[in-house]
Amino acid sequence: MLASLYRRVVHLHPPAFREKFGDEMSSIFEQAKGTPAEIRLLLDALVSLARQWGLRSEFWYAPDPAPVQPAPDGVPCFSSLDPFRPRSSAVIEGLLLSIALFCLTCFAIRYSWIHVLHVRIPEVQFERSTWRPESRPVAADFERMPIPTTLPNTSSTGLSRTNSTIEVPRQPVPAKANPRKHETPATADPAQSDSGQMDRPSNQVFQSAIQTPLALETFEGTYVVEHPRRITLVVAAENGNLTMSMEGQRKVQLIPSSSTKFTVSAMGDCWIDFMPGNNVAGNEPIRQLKFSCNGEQFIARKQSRLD
Amino acid sequence: MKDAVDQFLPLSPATLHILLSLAGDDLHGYAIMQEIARHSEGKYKVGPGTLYDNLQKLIQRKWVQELGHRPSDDDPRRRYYRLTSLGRGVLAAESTRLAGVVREARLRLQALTPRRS
Repeated sequence: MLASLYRRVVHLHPPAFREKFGDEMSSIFEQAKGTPAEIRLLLDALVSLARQWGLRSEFWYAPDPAPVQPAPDGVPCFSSLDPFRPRSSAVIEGLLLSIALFCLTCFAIRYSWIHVLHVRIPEVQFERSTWRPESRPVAADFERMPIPTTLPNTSSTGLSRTNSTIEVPRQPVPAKANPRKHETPATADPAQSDSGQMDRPSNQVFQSAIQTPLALETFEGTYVVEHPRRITLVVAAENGNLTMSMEGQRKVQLIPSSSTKFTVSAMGDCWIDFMPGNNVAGNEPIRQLKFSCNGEQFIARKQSRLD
Repeated sequence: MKDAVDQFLPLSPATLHILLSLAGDDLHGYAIMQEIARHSEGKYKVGPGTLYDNLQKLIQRKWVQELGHRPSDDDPRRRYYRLTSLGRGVLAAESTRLAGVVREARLRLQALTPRRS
């Protein structure tokens, strides 16, 4: 058994060493068979195995004999390039480093499973825009838009109000017909009203792509901004259009973009949002306006006739 | 040649004993092991692994030459080795060095020994 084990140990030596000295080592072991020296020889073979693979990398493989190619004139040519063999210490160090990296990767993966890493990503601040989301016309705004072109004459302003929000009653939808969420003013039936009679408001409704249910007279008035400085805005209805003028500024036209919001023509990112008051009786439905221009906002209160 | 030899000094005990064993005659591996045990009086023994590891280096340095198998030998696996001239020079240089060490050691020891009148 020791002999077969010794032969296996010898067989594990590097190829060049095994081919050169393997038979002699086996012969020496056979001569010591049956003596206590067998164990010493076996231990010696094990030490030799470790030494050959660990410290004798230059003797692992026999050098390939360079092919001798005779030159045309008969002078032989020799090749001087040796096969590359890494140093044994480099191989061992690379092995240890690979094991360390592998263990580190496994640990990192396991750690990430157990502990959730909260990475705070700072919010990206875009340049402040005058187009505020709350003032953007949404589907609800379009739903509040008037369907009839004429309004029931319930007040001097021709407006029927149920709450602080300016709304116009919708047309009743037939049961069999498919309900529509939006109806263009052109398709609306102007004959529907509470009184059953068609009453035209005294003023002319502004005709544009977006119609405001309120009469332009509703927005007329003088609005005053108190802070940061006193600014007086005069809103007037002229020839079916709403205009605004400020002190020292030329008159500009207000183009409706929703029922109460108007963009200021020729002024870039400027718009005006008329805000209704709490008075539902129809007197002074617009109490103030919000004027926003180039990122700045001002609240202007409407001056009453007594002011 | 002296400079080329001196760079390998001092020799390791295994190398010294192997070169010393081959200095007398061409021997195979087992015989080298036995010769080492004999001239060291059993105080220094080498196993086959150590022997052939050193032989491998000595052959590469061309201090020892491999003769191959002798037809007269019973065991065809035995290979004989011969000491080259370069190996002989290295052995001589090592012997000179060791002789100088022994001489120096004797002089020092003689100085330490108290003289008896």
